[in-house]
Amino acid sequence: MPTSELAPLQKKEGNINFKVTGPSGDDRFTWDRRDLDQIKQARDKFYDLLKKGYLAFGVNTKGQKHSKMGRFDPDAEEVIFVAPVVGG
Amino acid sequence: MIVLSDAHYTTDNSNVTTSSCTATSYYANASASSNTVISWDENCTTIDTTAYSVYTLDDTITTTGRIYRQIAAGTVYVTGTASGNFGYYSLSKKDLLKSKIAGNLADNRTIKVPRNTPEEIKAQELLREMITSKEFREYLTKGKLTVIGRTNLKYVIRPGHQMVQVFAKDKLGKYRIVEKLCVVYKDGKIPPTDAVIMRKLMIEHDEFAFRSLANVYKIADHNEFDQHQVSALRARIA
Repeated sequence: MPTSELAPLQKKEGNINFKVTGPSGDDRFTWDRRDLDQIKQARDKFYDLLKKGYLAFGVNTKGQKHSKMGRFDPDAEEVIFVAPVVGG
Repeated sequence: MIVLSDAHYTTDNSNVTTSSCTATSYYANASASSNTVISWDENCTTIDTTAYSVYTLDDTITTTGRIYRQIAAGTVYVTGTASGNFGYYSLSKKDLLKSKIAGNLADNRTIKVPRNTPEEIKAQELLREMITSKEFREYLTKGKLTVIGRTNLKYVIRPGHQMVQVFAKDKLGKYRIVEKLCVVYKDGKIPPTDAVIMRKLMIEHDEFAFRSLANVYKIADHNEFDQHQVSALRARIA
């Protein structure tokens, strides 16, 4: 079985999980929201993906279901990025 | 319990006894707990097993990894904490029956959504985290997912490039198909189930953007259907 090159997703308190849909299934990244550098990296990644046309849907720490995100929210527990779409 | 690893979807531990992988356990008993992502590194032991049994991680966690072992069928692994406090309990007869039904999901004869690539399996793992066991079972066995939009229109989503069917209530209150919508990924190589995730999220949270983006193929005249529903829809789109 091929070994995953992605960082394992860890559902730990204080983590922000990014799940990015794409040709490889979904790439997963984990950030620690208690680390300022990692928050900056997560924010950069967030806006980088939005610039590329991705749509972001997040779950916040209050357990609220996915909602569309236009701005980076470090309180989001999990963000799912949907790759750019077009009318078929 | 069905075990999903990063590259295989299986009820057999042969595909998950590997190094450096992440698996998600799904409970046959829907009321047991939420899903838990399990990670382990090395020392996953290989055990003789039969399909559709229930597996768990040993509650002995080592620094090098977690030992995978088989426990009696009908036992469900319950949620653990980040530090690895795991436990398990026996199922009631009713839940044991549910467990057997869930095990049948792994039978390829009943599954309509192919799980032929690691990418597709990862996409299905993500979808599984977003919907209920019942919805996921329906998706695997019938190849469709139903989503109700804010306008009360019913959307039936299928994987890949298949169009989304839109149903509206007629005067008798029964759902009838009114149109088909086509929205696809720009990159056509994305796994089929990722298209389902995209459509579900857009319909639930940005239905009007989804509709405005889609190519619409009308099947029935909206006038035949519930005027209140159609009026509300038109008002919102406007």
